[in-house]
Amino acid sequence: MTRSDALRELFAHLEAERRLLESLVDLLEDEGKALRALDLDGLSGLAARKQTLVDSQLWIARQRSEKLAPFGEEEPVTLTALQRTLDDEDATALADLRRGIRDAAAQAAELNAKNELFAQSGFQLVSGVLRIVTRGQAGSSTTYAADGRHRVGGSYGQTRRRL
Amino acid sequence: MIGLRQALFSGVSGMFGSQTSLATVGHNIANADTEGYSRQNVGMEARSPSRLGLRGFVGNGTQVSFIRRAHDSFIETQSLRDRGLRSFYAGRERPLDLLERLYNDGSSPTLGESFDEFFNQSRELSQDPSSFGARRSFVTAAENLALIFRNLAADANMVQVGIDDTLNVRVERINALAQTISAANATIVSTELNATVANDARDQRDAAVRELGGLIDLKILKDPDGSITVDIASGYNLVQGDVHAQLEATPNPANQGFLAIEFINIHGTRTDITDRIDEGEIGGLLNVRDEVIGESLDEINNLAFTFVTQANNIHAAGFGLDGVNGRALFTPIAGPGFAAAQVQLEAAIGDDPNLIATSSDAVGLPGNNENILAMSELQGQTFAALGGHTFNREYAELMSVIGTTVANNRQNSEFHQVRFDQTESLRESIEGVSMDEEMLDLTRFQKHFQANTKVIQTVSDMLDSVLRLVD
Repeated sequence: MTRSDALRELFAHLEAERRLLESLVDLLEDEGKALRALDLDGLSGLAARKQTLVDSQLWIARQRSEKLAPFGEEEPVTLTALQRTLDDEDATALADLRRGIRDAAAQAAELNAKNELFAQSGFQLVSGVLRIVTRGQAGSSTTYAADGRHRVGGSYGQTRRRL
Repeated sequence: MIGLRQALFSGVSGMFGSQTSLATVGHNIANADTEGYSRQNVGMEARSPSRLGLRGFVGNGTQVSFIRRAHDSFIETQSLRDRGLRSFYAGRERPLDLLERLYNDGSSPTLGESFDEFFNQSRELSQDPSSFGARRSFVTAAENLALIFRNLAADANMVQVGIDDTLNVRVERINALAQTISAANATIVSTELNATVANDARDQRDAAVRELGGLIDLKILKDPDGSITVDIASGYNLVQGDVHAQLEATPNPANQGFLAIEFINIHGTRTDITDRIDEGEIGGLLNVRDEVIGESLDEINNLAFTFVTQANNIHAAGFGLDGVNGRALFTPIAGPGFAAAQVQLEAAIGDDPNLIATSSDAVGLPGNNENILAMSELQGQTFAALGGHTFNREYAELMSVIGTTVANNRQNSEFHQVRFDQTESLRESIEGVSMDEEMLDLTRFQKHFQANTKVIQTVSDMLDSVLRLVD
């Protein structure tokens, strides 16, 4: 493969990576809306899409080093180092792709951090209500003897007659 | 209900074979682990017990409606708190935006740029101390710097005065709401004595309480007769039954005449509760007025005092073209308090730039530039009074603090809006469904959030990695 072909492949790869990150941004925005509304059905649908996107992103990020391999002698070259070796036109194209990836990743990171806060907040709220509902549903401390009179519950098997 | 208990106590179901024993175990285990648990504590009511042959009866838990009341009460309390916090940050937004624009509005020069210009003109003047044009330019730069200091102080003060105007209006509103709540209390108590529910009065009171919760931190206590007691600012009784206290915004001479919030109880006793208001829009406004702006003004005043003192010391050591030394460049300031509002070029120097002390001695006049060079070198010097910073660095630090405060406030404002939305969504989601379904839904929510936290961490790690690789 010529250096030029390798470069075209790398650029196509980086463009795919950028598009994937932008899809993640869209998904995280939807997730934020669902978290805000505590929309469990919406969140469940998003969870599967999110996992797929994350898996794809991890895979494509790993592939990047393969696409960079033709440009390094012995050790893999970094995008910064590669950019310095390119002519003006290719260097500009690479800089644009890097900026696109960086912006999308930064935006996704910010949304992800926000969603974490929203999720924690929802978790606290739901846990609070659940605690109260559980306590209530579990029953009062009253049990009853054979004559129908109250017994006051301590630990199981340690009921005592109410005076 | 047995189904629900299955869900609750499935972990112990293998130990006890029958549904009956499971019900009993669930009943007892739940209470064994709950310190001080009683129906009075959570406002629940036991269902009629089930007979278990000759062995006795088994409790059947509590009435659904009472549980609903318990979690409704939780959500109500949460909603009130969320509303208070949301309003706290929302209340801070506008004055904080104004403050940020004061320091960097993009159109007029900032204090940092004015410092640069002052020191640049010092250097220009050092090139040709006898040049009247260079002296005139130095005077203009010094006057501009003084003006920027004074404007900052005046504009920040205007923001504080604007906050006071809003506080006045909000305090009046609190009084009106207190009156509405106490009147509604009276209607509710008298109507409900006849075993009818005063729906309209209750709705009116709920709406007033919600609005009040957006203005100030409050605590609601429900009284057995149907009325509510409203405490504000950690323990001041605003409404009790059909009587209410009042608030008044009065100028506080100890705080530059800015308004203090006074609580006037039903006996007319006044207490300043300004420092006890931490939430709601009023809490947010007071925080910006006294803490954020107050502290930024302290920094600016300290910067102004340090600069004027240092510039004057150097200037007094030098000689003007008239051969006289000992003159101040700026009108001397006694101390850091309100210093920014007092920065003023000495009138005599403004009128006659030849009095600028450029020379280190009278003999070297007019060409000696050592003193004005010393003035220009102030730019790079650090000062203990400024925390070891230069003038520009100190200003940059202040800008950074204000920028961070504004950004954090926006973030918190958004977070508490979301939190409030979530509380309201939760309230809606658990209305009109059976307790069994509700319980399962809540458990699903909880599990989803727990699982989601792990995915969020994965995404975070992945994005960190992408950001590292792209550089």
